Amino acid sequence: MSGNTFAYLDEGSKREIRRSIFKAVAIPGYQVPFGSRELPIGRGWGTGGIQLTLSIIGRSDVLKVIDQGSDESVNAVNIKEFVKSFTDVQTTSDSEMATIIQSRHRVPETPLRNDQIMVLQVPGPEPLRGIEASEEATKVMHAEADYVGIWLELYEDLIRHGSITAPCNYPVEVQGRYIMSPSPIPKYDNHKLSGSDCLYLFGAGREKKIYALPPYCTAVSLAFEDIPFQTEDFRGKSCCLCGAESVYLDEIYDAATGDLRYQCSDTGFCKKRRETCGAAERRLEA
Amino acid sequence: MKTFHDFDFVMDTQALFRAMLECIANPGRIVNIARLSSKLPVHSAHLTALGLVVLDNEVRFNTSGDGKLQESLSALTLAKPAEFQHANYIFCPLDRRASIPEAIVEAKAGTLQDPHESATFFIETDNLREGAFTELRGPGIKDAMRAPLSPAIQQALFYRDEKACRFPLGVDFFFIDSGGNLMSIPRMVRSYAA
Repeated sequence: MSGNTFAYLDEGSKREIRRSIFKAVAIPGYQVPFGSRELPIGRGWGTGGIQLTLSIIGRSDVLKVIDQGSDESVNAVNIKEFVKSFTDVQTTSDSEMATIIQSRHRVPETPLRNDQIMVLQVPGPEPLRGIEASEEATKVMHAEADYVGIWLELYEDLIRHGSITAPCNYPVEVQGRYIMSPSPIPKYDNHKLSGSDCLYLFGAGREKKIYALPPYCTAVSLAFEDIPFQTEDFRGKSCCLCGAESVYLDEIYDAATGDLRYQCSDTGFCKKRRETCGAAERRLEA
Repeated sequence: MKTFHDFDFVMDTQALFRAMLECIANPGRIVNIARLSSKLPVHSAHLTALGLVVLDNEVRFNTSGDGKLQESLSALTLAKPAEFQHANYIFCPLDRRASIPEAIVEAKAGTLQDPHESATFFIETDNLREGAFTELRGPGIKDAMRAPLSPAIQQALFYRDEKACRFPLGVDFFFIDSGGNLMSIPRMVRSYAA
């Protein structure tokens, strides 16, 4: 780290991002524009989340980075190494030890605490983009709380397919006002956003937007009165490594045998569970 | 003798930012920043410390007529002073409390398309742990919390409500007392008689 700026970004950049974070927290669900900086990583690879992490992180923080639930994926490992090389902070794969968790596509299984900050990388922050291509027009729609288009989109999906097919990035209504993209987390994770103890920060580097959900804020997944919101169903399935049930599972298909097996998507949770169970079994054997 | 070298403009500013973030994300919670702000050898050290987190040459501020505070904030941050109606950040020292009503009435509340273009207040107040108990409700608060609100805070909230801005428009507050206790009440949080 010697000779480099702490946390890579210059202080002016951090200050602007910090100002945007304050506004984002004060106006839950509203996308605050910011001057997204160049990073030594391509846009679309988590630059929004990285800029948030670099702007909030301090020496006493403990950082966890996950990508699709995994602590060991190339993206997660490299982001973690990048931040560590400019801050010297401690890193971890244990959700409970972390003070800042940066993630793409998942919220950890372990419930987060009030002293933790969850940073989510967002490729497409605008929930109205599928309906309206113009940024100017979507700003007006948000200003007028004109969300008819998004409801119509869900309705058309329902009529065509018999159910709402969006597997992830399922829109939520924040505190009864803004409709917000929760980033490409699976629908399974949507309920973790509402009334959470922790602060959620969302960063879209390419789209230059920051938004937030303060703790205990409501984030209701959109649903019709007679068609309730449904998440992925893992009933009767469990992780082949740790045996966990009622968690988000990855489906793994063995082409050679044709077997299907399931594994925890949250690798840190799975690892800790195996270690804890292993230790308990060893104690019993002893 | 204290000098500006005692204050680490990178690490201490980061710690101040996190204290402010904890406050604004958890309205009504009190976080103490005296350890950091006491390093600054200036008049109104607490307000100056908060200013260092948000001010630079891209934003405008107003110090409610406090010339010394304006001078030190300008010198340290290169931010430009402005009238209440143009200021992004408005600082109200304790002895300028009389200007709070005018500042709130005139402050920017944002627009429906750009609600973030609104003012944030930093108001010096009496002891944050003393005052009439009031119930606070809103995002960042689990159900409701009872908090003692000093007369200056009650006055600020009264004029904010009088401003009659409908969310997402509004102004956000940080309150600080002489002991360095910091508390925030953002625009969506409302107070009710306990």
